[in-house]
Amino acid sequence: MNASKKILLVDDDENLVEAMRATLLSKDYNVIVAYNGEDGVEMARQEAPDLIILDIMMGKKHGYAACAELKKDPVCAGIPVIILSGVGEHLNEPEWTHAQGRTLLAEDFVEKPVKPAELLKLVEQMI
Amino acid sequence: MRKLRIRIIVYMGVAMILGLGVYSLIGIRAHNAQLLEERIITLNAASQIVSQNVYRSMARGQPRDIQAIVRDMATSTRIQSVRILDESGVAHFSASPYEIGKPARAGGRPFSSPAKTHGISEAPPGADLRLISKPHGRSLVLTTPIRNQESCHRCHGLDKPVLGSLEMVFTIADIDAKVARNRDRALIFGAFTFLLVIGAATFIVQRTVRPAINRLIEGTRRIHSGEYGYSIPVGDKDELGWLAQYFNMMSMRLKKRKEEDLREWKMEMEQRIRDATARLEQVNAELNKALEDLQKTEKVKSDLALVIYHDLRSPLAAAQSCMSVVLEEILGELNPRQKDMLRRADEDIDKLLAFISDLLELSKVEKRTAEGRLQPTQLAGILRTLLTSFAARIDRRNLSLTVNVPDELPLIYADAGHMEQVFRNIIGNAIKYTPPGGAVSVTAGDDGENVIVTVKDTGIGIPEEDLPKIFDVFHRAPNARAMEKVGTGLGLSIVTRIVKDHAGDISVRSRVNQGSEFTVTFPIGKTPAIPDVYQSE
Repeated sequence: MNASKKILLVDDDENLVEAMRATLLSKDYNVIVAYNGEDGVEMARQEAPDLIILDIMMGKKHGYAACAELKKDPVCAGIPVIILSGVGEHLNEPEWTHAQGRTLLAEDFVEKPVKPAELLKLVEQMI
Repeated sequence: MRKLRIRIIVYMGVAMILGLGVYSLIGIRAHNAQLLEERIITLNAASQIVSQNVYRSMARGQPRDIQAIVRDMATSTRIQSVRILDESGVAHFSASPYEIGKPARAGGRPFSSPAKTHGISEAPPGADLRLISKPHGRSLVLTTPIRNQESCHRCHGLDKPVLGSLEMVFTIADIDAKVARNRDRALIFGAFTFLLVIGAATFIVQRTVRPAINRLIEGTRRIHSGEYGYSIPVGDKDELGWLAQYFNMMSMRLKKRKEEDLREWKMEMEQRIRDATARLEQVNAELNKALEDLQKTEKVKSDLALVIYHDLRSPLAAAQSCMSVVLEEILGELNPRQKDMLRRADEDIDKLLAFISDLLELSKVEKRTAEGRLQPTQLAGILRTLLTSFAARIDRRNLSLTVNVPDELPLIYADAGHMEQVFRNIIGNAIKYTPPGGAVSVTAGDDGENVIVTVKDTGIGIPEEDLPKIFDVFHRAPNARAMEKVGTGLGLSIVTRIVKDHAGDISVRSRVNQGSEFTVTFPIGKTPAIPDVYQSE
């Protein structure tokens, strides 16, 4: 029943992506993956997923920057975004503070490490 | 000036008087001597004439004529008396008949033996010439011996060489009067000259010396008051002119000297300033270098923190995520033994992750402390933002949250990042150690001096014996360990350090199984009493 729900995972950590993919696949979600922010934004535009799970610290494009771009894009603006948090609290990003990313851009966030049960619960709430 | 003038006049006067006096004395004396000499010559001549006549009379054997000769002679104006005395001093002939037969007057002297001169050199040989003073003036007394000549032998025989003496008294009162007159004239002339000299001296001093000296005094006064280079008019090319010229030269030299001194002093000062500036620049460069090094070190530290986070924590987090997929049997069922083993591994990974997080927190505290960004800070805003970020966790743990924070609290001097860290720790602990269904409340306010924030929970509490130790590094109460295996004991020590750095205070009240209440206070609007090194930019 979830096969029609397309979820885009954007993270440069392949192992974490695999863990999340396995978790989501167990519930039959359609999972697509991008390994950096730029690819993530591109893929979101092309594939029009139902949900985006976005890491913050990535090569090529920062998670917050990617999120902001998506939210500005008329096509992607309606897609809910879950931010994979953890890094933001430990970085002094002047432009994108953790609080800003959370309150202004993303619909919700998941703290690393990702617990499968938590992730599934959150995803179910979002779509 | 007056003194000098008087002195000059007095000196000149005295010199004049002395000079004139000596000159007059010498002149008058010479005149006197000359007159006296003339008188003596006349006297001698008269005496000789009388002597000749007497001898002639005696030779003629007419002694009576002698009285006539004497009388005639006495009619001459200058001659006071003419007497002829015998050897015993009795007058035999005299112009005045009363004296005949009387002995010689004082001063007169009979000649019994060849006479000699007395006092006056000009007396003829064998005669006696002396000067006597009488009430009506001075007189010359010439006593000439009357020798027993051939012509006398008839009457007087041959036994006595000297028969008597001729005494003639000539007055010199007229000479004395003349000399006195001359002396008076000299005195009047001297006094007149003296007055003239005084007048001339005064005039000269007034006209030439005084203005020049006044100019010199003025110049000296000005130089004394530091007006080097002041020059005075030179005037005539006399000594005063030279003095003025030398004065001007001295003044110029003083000016030059002062300018040189000033230039030297200025140069020395400039050199000193250059040296000091160079030293300052050197120190500044060293400080900049040190600062750069420090910043580099800080950057390395900060980079290291990121490396720790990203290269240590991220893979660990990914590993745990992967393990969780297996542990939660998403990929298939596990037997209890497998599950137990994986859970143990999972717990240890949790511990590691928490430890890494705390180390990062600690490094951030140190970084912020070193940067010392203290600014007026609104704690209410920080608390609200924090509570928003905790909302999800509070929901997940099924806790009730009571927030009693006013829109605005009095400002405190603080680092906003530090404040966030303090309350994230305290509120995070309250959430962590409160079992589901419990309550957490955050209250903020002020007592006029301090901002007071209280975080209260209905959690597991802290055993009494552990209360004093909870702020120590790595200390964890046993019940906290039992409830949450994850935790390093770093959190509250970080909080304590931050609070102390902000001159604040932290206290706790707690009872096991009833809850804990943490109270944090910060002084209002004051620069916290932290080390100076943290306050400078």
